[in-house]
Amino acid sequence: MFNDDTLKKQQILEEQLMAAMKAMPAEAVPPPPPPVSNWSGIKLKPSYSPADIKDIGFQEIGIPGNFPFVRSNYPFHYQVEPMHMNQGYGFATTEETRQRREFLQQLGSRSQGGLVTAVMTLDLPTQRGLDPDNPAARGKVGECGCSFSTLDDFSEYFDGLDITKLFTALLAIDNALPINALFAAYIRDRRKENWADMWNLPCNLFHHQQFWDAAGYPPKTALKMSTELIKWHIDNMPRSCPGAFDGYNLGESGAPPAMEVAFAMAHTIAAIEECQKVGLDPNIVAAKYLGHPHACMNFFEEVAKLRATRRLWAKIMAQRFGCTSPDALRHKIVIAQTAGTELTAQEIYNNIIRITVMTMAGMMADIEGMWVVSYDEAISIPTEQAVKVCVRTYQILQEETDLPHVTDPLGGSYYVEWLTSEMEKEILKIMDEMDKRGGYLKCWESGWIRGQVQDAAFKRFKKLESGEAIKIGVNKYRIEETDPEANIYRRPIEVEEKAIERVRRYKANRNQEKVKAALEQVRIAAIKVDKEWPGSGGVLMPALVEAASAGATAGEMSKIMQENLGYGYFSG
Amino acid sequence: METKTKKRVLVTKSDQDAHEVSVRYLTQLLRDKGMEVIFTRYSIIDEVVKTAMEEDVDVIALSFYSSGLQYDTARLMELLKEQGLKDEIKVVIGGTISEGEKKELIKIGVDEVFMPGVGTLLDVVERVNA
Repeated sequence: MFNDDTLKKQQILEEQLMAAMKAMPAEAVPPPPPPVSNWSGIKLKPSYSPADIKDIGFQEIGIPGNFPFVRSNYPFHYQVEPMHMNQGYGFATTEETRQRREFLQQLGSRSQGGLVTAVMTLDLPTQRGLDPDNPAARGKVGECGCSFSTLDDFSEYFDGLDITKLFTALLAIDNALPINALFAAYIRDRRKENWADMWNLPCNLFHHQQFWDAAGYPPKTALKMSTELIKWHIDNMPRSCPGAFDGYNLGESGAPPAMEVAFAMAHTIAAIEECQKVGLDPNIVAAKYLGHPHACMNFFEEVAKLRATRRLWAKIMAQRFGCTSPDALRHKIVIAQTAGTELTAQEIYNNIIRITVMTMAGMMADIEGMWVVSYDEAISIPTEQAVKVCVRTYQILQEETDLPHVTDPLGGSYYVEWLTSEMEKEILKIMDEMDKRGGYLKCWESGWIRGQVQDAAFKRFKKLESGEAIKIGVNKYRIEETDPEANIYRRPIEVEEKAIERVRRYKANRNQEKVKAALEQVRIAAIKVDKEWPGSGGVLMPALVEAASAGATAGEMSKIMQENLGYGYFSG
Repeated sequence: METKTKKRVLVTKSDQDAHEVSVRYLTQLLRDKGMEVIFTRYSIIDEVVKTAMEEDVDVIALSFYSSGLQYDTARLMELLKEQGLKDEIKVVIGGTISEGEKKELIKIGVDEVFMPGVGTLLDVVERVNA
């Protein structure tokens, strides 16, 4: 990066400084600062200079919009395309959720190219593959998300909306395949429209898989199902992005930034390899992966992490998978989500400041979009007042400050470039460790991944308990005060009763023989996925779309898949 | 016959809710304090009473960060009453719970309720152990 002359000059300056300090009386010499490490464990110096980045080749940094895209995916960015506002929403019924979407639009919320964000949070039973009338859904329908299980639910929410102007993501987790099958059947059969026109981001079931102790499917099965989801969308909805590079949920569970990226990257590599087995081209698959990282309070660590992720992605896709398409080499970080774990229930308005810092880290790393969470996240799903502040956060940063004027404004900083490289090395170190332990799948199946995440989470708790990690108003400067009554949203019980009634009516008023026959085809396809993989790749999603079309509910489809593909299990 | 010396605690949470970090940490703190902890995820709240009986626990600790608080707790207390265990087993509930809901929970017989921002996990350990 620097010629010998510059490095020599720097060395002289440092020597002069040391000599001057030595000449000072001992009591006048400032004490050395205490050692500091970031959350990923990288030791930091009090300041950085050209010597720290002398070994980083210029090609490693380059210019915005060029390989390896560390500085940005684009030569210019926020100057012409503001950060996408991809915050999720959804609660009670489709009606309340529709009202929330209209409120967000009224505030000026927009996704890529002005698309309307329809990142739909679905309730826990839906995420789990349970219809509202399932006994395990009792008390949980419509509370922390919207309940979706039938074509009627899709009609109620999407009728009248121009699907080509929506950026949809139905957060269905374990239920991802049936919910997206219902969506596809709704578009084709009820709307009589071409699903190829949609911008769908079908939430991949991996969001919780790697570390959750109650995941819906066993690891190998989940990889196959992810492949089914990706293949169907590539073949049918070419604008969609069915791959999820999910670090957010890892981060929320406790993984520090470098670990988060290492696990998400290792997962993505395994998932792309699985896609290759069913004949998909990595050039296409890699382009269909969108980033959903975590953004915590360590501003520079997050900036460096996001930049390092883009560079590492470009290198891995080029070197390991031989990708050449620019779309595949660019890792598009579309939904970085500000950390819920950083927010506090005490003095909740302080969270607005925390969220602003985390959002700025995303902007300074020049990412495509974010999910800015609401300040009341520690106590409830967002109120209208809280989501208004979210939308205003993006807008104020974009339109009232000079942040968007220059792409990658931190590029070239000795510290940021050094830290970006160190984060990359740390991520690779963890990935190497996984290789030594028998590879990603083994680390997942044995519970090693979740063990690592849990250990990190516990370390953080201990630091908060001891005061080594600080939360203002919680473990420092705390004052005893009566906070105003927490406004915790609970949906009225009628929402659940209505949903149960609706799904029962739906099941009663359909051609039962047709449904039975279609579900039998799902069963056959699931067995083929289980026994004849990868030769059977691509058989499951079409069978699910036809079952949805015949009137099967999401819960019925999920049940058949679990019965034939297995349930998740606790490990580690 | 073996004499029960250590306090036995069933820590549990719905298998639909992924907000599990704190509750898992709580299990560790309870173990550090010398208690025997059984940690489960339940599909239906009815399973919790069955497990509590099989494991002969002194305390049931439930965590709610998402949904199900009202239905699951009411059903739990009803089942404990049916089994004549309401006075035998202490019930501790924590999570995103409002002051008004806390009052309701105490009314139906819940022993301890921990709301967001009130106290720490160490306080929870103390109350469980009390």
